[in-house]
Parts: sequence; structure tokens; C-alpha cells
Amino acid sequence: MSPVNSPKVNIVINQPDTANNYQKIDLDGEIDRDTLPSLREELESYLVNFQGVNLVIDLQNLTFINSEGIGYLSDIHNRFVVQNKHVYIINTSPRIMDIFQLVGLNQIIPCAANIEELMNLIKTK
Amino acid sequence: MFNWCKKKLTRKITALLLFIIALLACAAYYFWTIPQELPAYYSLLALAGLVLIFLVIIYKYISRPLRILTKQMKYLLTGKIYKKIYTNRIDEVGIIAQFFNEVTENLESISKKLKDAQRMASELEIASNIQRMILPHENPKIPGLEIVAKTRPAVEVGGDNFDFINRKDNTFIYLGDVTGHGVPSALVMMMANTLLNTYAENYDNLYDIVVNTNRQLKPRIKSAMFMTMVMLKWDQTAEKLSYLGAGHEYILVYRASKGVIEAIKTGGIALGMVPDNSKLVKEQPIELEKGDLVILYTDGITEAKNDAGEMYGLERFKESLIKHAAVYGPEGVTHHASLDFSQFVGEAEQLDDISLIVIKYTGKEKEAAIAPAPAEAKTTQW
Repeated sequence: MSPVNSPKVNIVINQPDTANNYQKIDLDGEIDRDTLPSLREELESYLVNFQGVNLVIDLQNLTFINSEGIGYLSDIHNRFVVQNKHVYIINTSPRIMDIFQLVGLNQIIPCAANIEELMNLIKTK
Repeated sequence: MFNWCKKKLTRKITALLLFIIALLACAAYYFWTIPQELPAYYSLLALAGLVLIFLVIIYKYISRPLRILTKQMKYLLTGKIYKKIYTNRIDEVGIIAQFFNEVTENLESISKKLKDAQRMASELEIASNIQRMILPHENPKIPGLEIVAKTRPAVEVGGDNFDFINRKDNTFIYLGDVTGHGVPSALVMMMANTLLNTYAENYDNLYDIVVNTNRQLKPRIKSAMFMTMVMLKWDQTAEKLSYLGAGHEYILVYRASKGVIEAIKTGGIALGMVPDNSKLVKEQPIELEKGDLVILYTDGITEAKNDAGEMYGLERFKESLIKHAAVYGPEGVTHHASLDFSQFVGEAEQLDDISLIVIKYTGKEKEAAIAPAPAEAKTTQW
């Protein structure tokens, strides 16, 4: 809707790490009211067919997320929980982490600084 | 294919004319070359007969169908009841009839859609009025506090909501923001408002109100929706303020003695995110000195963008508040901070609901000494 900057969100689906039993996806750009529908559309078919157990969402290049985006992440988490699957978030910028902490998302989806820290977190669980 | 159709009627007339010319030629040949017993005016009669046949055919195939068509078109244009035209002709007359039928069908469908849209608009207006009735109409007069609240939904109805609930010596103040905006958010907001009011009638602490509200709200809303909220409790006797956060924006406290703003992370987790938030939320005190301001807001303010796509942001908002809090009371701070915000956003479309509540701790003595200024501004105006 913004006439000058039309924000975009990109999804990168990485090869599954079979040794550590996870698959990582990168969400880059901005997640807001304009970009959420396309993100949802692209990600849904992937999530429905997701065969693994651990999904790691890398937010290194995510610059903005609004409450609807947080709602979507929480929705993914809720759907995974009933299937005995797990969602994790890594590489959040301080700004995004601040938003997660405000809403409390980090209390339901485990967040880690990077993949190594996440692996330790899972092992110690 | 269309050219063929176009030519068809012309072809018919041409063929008819040629046929009549041929008949006339035969008649002329018969009357003028072969010796006749019949009188000569018979030829004229024959000619008149042929012209009559020609006219009858023209009338039946062209004039009459066209008259029917124009009559129905006139009815359509003057708003009278018109009928569909049934024909299996595929020439120009058939095409016009078909076109007429299609246009009227489209018009009927447009008119139905228009009626539906009008009905929905009027229902939305009713919903908007109901929501306005739910939100406080005037700024409350609470002993020890001076409060000014403003809200503006992005569309007719919104997800931002707040209330001031008095129960014995306690006043509960909450500001909530449901994910998204519009009708879905408004429905959740109505539920949350009812639940919070109901539990505030039965409990005198923030913890029980919020934990019970969440327990009831969670199964009633879809997974991707939630409501961030901050709730305050003002103990009028002890003049103590406490808060409980449910994943909301910061509580901003303007310290009058120092002229600074302290941002308190509300903590907790948004309502509707987990079935049980009892381990995640906590009631905590806010120490206030007389003259301090407590500012509650929704992210519609900090996340608003101007035409250049630049976000208003917390820092800009805080600067504006500090500047005006040094000079004005809650009414003036709300007014001028709103102006600063509007100036920044300019003509950019309002994408989210925006709300702002400014609370000043005046203390009861001050209130007794100086009569509180009548809060004329309606809370729902921005």
C-alpha cells in the first residue's frame, strides 16, 4: 500500500540437516499487513507437507514484523504442537527480539542466537 | 463469424428486393410482350400486390421486432418493468435482443450486489455504534488521577479497546489491541471487554481478572489471533498503582521531577496465545510521584508510516511526549502528541487502530484544592 517503499518478504527453504534432524527456512524482508498474505500462501503448502520434526525459522534478514505476523508464527507453533513437531526461531535482530519479548512470543517458541546455540538448547531440554 | 451475422439482415433484404425485381421483370415481360386479353391496369394491381408483400415482410421481420426491442429498452431506461426478449434469430435483431438480455442480467446482478453492499454498510455502521457504546464516552473522574483517552479505528470498527472499571475503592484501567483490525478484531475486542468487565466485578486483583479472561478467550478465538493488553489497578485509598502486562507495548512513565520518560516492559504474554497464562503474568507496582504521567498506547502509533514509508517509532513518540508533558496536563499532552503524530503521518493511509491514554497522578489533596477541569473531549475522538 505504501506508494514509495513496497516491502517484500522472501522465503528461502534450505536443505534439511539430516544429521541434526532439522530443516531451516529463512524469512527475509518485512512481515506486515501487505506481505503476510503472500507469505502465508507460499509457506502453507510447505508446512502442510513438512515431514520433519524440527522446523527452524531463521530471521536474520527480517527487518520488521507486525502483530499479525506474530500471530501467524504463533499459529504455526500451535499447529505443530498437536502434531508433536517443534518450531524454533534463530538469528533475530535485537529489534525483532524486542517485539517478541513484548508480546511474549519467545515464551512459547524457543528462540536462540544461532543454530549452535539452538542445538545446545534442544540437547539440554 | 461476426461479419457474417452483420451482413445477414442486409443479405435478406437484398435477396428479397432481387426476388421482387425478378417477379416484376417476369410480370413486365408477361404483360408487355405477350398479347393480353386482360386490361393493362392489371399490371398495376400486380405491382401493388408485390409492394404490399414486400412491406408485410419488412414489417414482420424488421419493424415489429425492432419496435418490441425499443419498447423494452425504453422501459429499462425509464425504470419501468421490462421483460426479457426471447428469439432464436441470429441476425442483427437477434444480436440486439441477446445484448439487451445480457445487459439487463448484468444490471440485475450489479443491483443485487449494490443492495448487499448497502446492507453491509448499514450493518457495519450499527456495529460501529455498538462498539462506540462499549468504549467509555467521557474521560473518567477518578480521585487522585486525571485521565484523558483517545482512540481512532482504522476502519468503521476496530480491535483497540479500553475501559475504566470502578469497583469499590479500586479503579481498573485497561488498554487492549487485538491483532489486525476491522470486523474480526472488533468481535474479539467485544468478547475481551465483556470478560474483563465481568471478572473485574468478581476479583479485586489484576492477576485473577487476566488469567480468567485468557482462559475463556483462548478457546473462542482462532489460533492466529490474540490481544495484547496492559491493565492498571489504582487503589484510591492507598493511592497506589500497579500493572499487569499481557504482551503489550511499553508503559511509559513521565517522571515530572526529572523530565524524563521511563519505558517499562509490560511483560507477560498476549491474551489468547496460550491456554493458561497463569505462570506467565504477574501484577507489579509502579511507584509514582505527584505530577508524574503514565502513558498507555497501541502500536498503531509507533508503527504508523508516513508517505515516505518511514515509521513514527517509539523514540519520536517519546520525544513528543517529553516536550509536551513539561508544559501541559494530560489533555494538552494528548492533544499535542496527537498533532505531532498527525503531522508526521501526513496524508498516509491509517492502516491500524490508534489509541492513547494519558494518566496524571494528581493526588487527592490537589484535586480538593483545585476543582478538576471538566473533561469535555469525548474519548473516542482523535
